[in-house]
Amino acid sequence: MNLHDIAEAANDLTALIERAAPHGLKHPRHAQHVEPARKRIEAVMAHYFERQRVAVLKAIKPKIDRELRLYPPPVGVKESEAWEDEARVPSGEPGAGEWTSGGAGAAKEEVSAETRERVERAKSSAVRTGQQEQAIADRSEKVLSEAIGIPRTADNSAFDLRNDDVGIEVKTLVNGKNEKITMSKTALGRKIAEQRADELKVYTVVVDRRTGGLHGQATYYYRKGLGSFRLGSMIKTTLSELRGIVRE
Amino acid sequence: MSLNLANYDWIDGKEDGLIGQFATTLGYTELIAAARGHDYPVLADFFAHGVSADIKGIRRELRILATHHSSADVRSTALALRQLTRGQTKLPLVITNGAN
Repeated sequence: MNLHDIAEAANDLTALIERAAPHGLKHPRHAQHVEPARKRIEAVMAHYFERQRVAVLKAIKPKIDRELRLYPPPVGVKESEAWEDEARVPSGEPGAGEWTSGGAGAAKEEVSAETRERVERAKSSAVRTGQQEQAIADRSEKVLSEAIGIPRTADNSAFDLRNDDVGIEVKTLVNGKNEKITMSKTALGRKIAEQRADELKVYTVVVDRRTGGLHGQATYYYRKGLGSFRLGSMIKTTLSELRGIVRE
Repeated sequence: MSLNLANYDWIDGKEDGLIGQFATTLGYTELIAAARGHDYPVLADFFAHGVSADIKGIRRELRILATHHSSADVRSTALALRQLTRGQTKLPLVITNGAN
């Protein structure tokens, strides 16, 4: 019998006594039984919910800090405002509640000449990752994952390759002359938090495909740890060596 | 390879322009696939070049993806990218792996 059943039974009892006794439950003859019973039920309920509170806190409290470090709330963003910037069709009208903008028919924003010039400059830059670069990086990472035997991660995981013991950040150089890889501070923070929480060995691996493209010869570099590195500070390696290194 | 959102400062060579990570390589590949077709023209263009100044269009289409797509992975990646775009004024926005 659970607490809900006890409470129901108590209510039924008081209703029964109420109906049977024309003088009501405050009559001393009844009150001497009802009042202690109510107090007893209140005490049982209070004890039950206090135990629940303690048990829940015991289970989640140790995890709060870890979860906050792994998934920090976006600074300055209120989730309730996440969909704030489009109006909806008013109620009573066809399509009520739908967004008033969106989809293929939406009007394009006018951009200034300066912004257009910046867009063109950005498109010709080697520091952006378009679909073509992404396709090469994707295939390249798949080859690396299979060669060293550490699975890829999906979604927005902290590491690109991950198993129970090792986390690997992979950077693929597709074009450009920059000899440096960069991690943002927030991304680095997430990776380090996960490394500490799960006690991982972590590596940064660079796959240089600037000369051979996807099908040509790739050059591999690795370094223990995470961060923004110059290639010169990393160790040149091969896939088979790397497989051994991450399994040490 | 982590995919990051950056603003125009990144094109100018400033590391502060790197706003944050929104996907792994695999997560981004899935997001690109989800945005193919006629429903997401702004995102398709953004992902094709890795550059776009149409922040309203990006946010609008990411909102639709994050709300309606059948894959939970795609929804969360779209939401992560959308949150990073919030309040950005140094256009265009740039997608980068931080490696080139």
